[in-house]
Amino acid sequence: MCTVCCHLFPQIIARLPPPSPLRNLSAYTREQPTLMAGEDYEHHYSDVPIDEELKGYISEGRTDWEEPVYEPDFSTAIVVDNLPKVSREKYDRLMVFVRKIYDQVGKIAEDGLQMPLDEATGMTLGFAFINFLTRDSAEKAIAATNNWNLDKAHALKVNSYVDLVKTTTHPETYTPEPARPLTTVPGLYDWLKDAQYRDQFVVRHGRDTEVYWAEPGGTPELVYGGEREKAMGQGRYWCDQYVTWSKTGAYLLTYHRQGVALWGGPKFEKVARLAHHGVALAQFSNTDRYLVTYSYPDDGPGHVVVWDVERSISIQEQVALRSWPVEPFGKGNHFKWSHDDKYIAVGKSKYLRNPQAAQAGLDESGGGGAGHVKQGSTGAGVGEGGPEDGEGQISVFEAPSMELLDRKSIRAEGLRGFDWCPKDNLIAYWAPERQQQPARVVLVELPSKKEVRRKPLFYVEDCELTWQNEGEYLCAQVTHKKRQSKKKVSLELFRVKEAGIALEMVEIDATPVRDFAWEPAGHRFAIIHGDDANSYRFSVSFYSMIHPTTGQKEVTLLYRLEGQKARPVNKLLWSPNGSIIVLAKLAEASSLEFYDVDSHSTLAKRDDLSRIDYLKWDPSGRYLTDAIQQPMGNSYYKYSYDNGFRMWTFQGTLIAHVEKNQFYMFQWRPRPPSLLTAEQQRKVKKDLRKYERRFDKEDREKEMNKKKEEWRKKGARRAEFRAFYATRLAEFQARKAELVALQKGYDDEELENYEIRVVTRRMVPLGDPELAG
Amino acid sequence: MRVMVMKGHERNITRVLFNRDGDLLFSAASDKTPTVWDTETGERLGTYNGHSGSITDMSVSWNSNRLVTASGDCQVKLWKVQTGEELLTYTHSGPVRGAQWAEGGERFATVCDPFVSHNAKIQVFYAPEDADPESLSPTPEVLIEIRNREEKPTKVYWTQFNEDLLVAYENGWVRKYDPKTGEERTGEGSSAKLHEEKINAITWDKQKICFITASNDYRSCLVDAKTLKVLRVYQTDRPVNGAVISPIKDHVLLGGGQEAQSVTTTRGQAGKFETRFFHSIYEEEFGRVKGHFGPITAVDISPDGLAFVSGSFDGYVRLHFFDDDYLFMRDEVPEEY
Repeated sequence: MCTVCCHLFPQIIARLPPPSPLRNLSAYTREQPTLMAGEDYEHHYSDVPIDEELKGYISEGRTDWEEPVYEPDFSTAIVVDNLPKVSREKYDRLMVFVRKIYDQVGKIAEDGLQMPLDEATGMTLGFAFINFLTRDSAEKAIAATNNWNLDKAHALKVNSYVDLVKTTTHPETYTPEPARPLTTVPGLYDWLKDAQYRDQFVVRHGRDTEVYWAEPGGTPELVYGGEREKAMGQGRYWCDQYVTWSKTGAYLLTYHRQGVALWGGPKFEKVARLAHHGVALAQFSNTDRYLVTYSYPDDGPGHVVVWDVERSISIQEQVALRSWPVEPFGKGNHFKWSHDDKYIAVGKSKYLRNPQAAQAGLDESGGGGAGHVKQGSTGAGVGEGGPEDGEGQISVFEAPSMELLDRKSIRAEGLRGFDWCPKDNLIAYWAPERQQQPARVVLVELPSKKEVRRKPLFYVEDCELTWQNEGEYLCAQVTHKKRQSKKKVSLELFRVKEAGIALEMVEIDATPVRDFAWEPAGHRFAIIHGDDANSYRFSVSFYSMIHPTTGQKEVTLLYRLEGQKARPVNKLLWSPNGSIIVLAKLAEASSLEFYDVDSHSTLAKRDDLSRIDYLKWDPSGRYLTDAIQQPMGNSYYKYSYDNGFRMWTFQGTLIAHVEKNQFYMFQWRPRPPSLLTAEQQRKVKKDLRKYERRFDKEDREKEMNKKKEEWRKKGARRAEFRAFYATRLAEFQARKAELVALQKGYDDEELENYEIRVVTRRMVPLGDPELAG
Repeated sequence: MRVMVMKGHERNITRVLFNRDGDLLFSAASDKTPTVWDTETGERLGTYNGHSGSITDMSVSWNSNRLVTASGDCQVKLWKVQTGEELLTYTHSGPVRGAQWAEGGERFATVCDPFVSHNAKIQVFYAPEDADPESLSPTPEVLIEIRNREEKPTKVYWTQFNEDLLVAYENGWVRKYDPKTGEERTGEGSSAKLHEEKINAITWDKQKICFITASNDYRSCLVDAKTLKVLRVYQTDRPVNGAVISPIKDHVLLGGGQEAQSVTTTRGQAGKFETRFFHSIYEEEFGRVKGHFGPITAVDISPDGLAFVSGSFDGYVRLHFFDDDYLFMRDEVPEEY
């Protein structure tokens, strides 16, 4: 019995001749008993006589069976509708014809083509089932032949069998979902109201996940460390995977095998649980309204899910986007949200670099949440021409409908990299040279999709786009192909806020450029450059987009630390408040230098640090933390030593050093963008003295109270220890004669057994006449 | 801090030891000659020549007259401290790992490893000081065989008034034995698993009320000798090879460092070859003393608490005299708490 037909069209079964069943379907439905979850395997097979000879090989009474799970897989089957209805005579010809079409797409399973007949009329019913060997061919067949005109009267309607079942079994009447009970969401942003305006951070070490307040005095104060979960007993703990903060800091996301969970509020209560089996990476949108989760290695449909965070539902499921260009993980898909979460842009090109590759280590954006994701290749090199050379597009979808803006993607042939402006709906992308076309950096405005600026470039080997965090400037760091002896680097600097988007170019002679960083909310940028392979010292240059004396909009070199002042440095990290930059060397032997860019002076320097693999400012710019971490799930790791983190003030004073075995991650809780206007912020800065006194006093009091509390605890321990020791000492004294007897009458506490020497020391000031005499 | 560096050994130091008065400093190494130094001047007073294997442990009697040394050459030797004269050799069935004088210096105990068909043994020898050296017997008074080959004793000690033998094991256990009959003690406070890994050394406070352990599991424990209850735990991030209790302050000193075999793979600084100072009651580390370029294998503190000595895998013995700022350092918690 053909189950497909039974399932779909029960009314016609009676009239159909019994066609041979689709092979792979029958396997699961006819002879074999289907096991229900939890049913005992033995139950089915215990009555099967076991060959005497085999008996010795079968272990009896084993209970650790893996339950075989039968999942009928219909994803290789498609339904071709709107075929001509033909009589029995023409049946074979049509079969051959249809087979000819679909053989081109992929291999059809044996007996995989079925065209049912209507018994009564002897005519075909106008549709056929085709079962391919692979899901891939089925998908290709749908894409290739749906709406294909067989002839004038017959445009084929091709659907996957799975979809068809879904549609036909869908209830006709709408039954509303029962309203969910209203739950009070804990104050997600309450932590911002902290009386001392402290910042929070999360650490993962061993099996512990702990959220702390950063304290000006050093030792952090625990906020929540999974006590609730531990109290549940049975060896439970909060999270055994990585965790990450959302973009505005409202949620803490924990990874679990079954999906992700969001926690928030003062005591980190569970806010939502989003089921996504095998989730490997979760990315919040910029305002925390949406969340994208990816699973790995599963790359089938549903491996990328977009969630509405507040309602904790998957919006992608709701709109059931056919056109959602989901590509297997790591094969060149970029999901990027606009600053206001109105749009999500998806880049598609075989050249795009894997977005996750950059996430390991020190990357800003991804939150390091998914270091456990296996990294794909970082994209193909240039010049590697191929049939798909021209491919490349940016699809912009409107949230939350997830509909393609204007139903058309932005064509971006050869797309290599793109990014949203952090403050406007503006996308910058670049593509390399191809077929007489120069390489280019393009700025596209959304939603108009108008190209507002295009800069052609020549001899480009690589290009890196970096937005200044206020979206005022964009830097395209262009590495040119080697022409003479050296690779040249030029910085193409866009003044985005200006009419027409003015562009300036700075050529860097001493290459390569090792790091580039914009001053947050400022007009300056810093680069590390130069090639000094012998001493590993590099130049650091500071530029301003505005001339420091004339105030003209003109890119100016402020100064350069070179020659004697060149430093071993490979990473630049501006303070979020600007002015101060950390010149760091992150290597086996790391160093940190706190440098004041305004006064050209070093505030503090440490060059005796071991391998640092995480370095980040807190959101307020008060502290810098570095951490030595080890990857999770790695039982033997070279750097299991020295794990932990250090906290420095912005002047470079070490205030805390916490060492933990198996330290996996450190992450500052981000703050949402400030609600104050620029004017208000200026005012606060002006009145800083006033606030300073208040906070200083509070800090001191708090520190003192903490100290007293600590002393009380320690004092109690000391008293308890001393009492114990006194008892034991009394016991000893009572039996001391025994020891004296063993030492033949010698008592080493007897003073007469000692030669007593009195040493008097006196401090004499230099030049004392008594000393001179 | 004033430091004397003593270079008298050619291989890694295994044991450093002050005598009861603190005027003599003994050092032993993987080379074959235990050495004695003058603490005040740092002068090398002499060596004890005769062993043919590395020295694993040694003990000086209460009145500094006699020294026993244990060696990997399966021998324990009894020496006259003042002259360096070898009084007697006690041949064992396997490499000897520990030797310790009892209170009063009439007896000493040794432990040796299992070797070929011989089991590990704990032995007590009777060697009174006033007896004629000729009449001393190299046969043990008490012999305890450890039949379980999995259990390897590492060191042996005497408890208060010579009541028990305290034996430390490679698996982190300590057990007490009757020093007269050799029977293992049973009941409360007679054995305890103090560590997850090998116990490298144990040292006592003056009255033998507490002892401190040093173990490969990165920890040291302060233990009540009577009940074998762990009173305090000092956590580090490297194996601990030696630990001592300060006689004048609530401090303990821990010496250790990354295992010598993995040292070459890291920078010297990352090995943490430092003596760490912990507050003995609050279990908090408050200071470190650097100087060695190999893991510290042994530490001791002078009986007056004014100096401490560390020996290292690098072959140097460093004798440190504390400065006033350490000696007059007050407890961070005021007395009224």
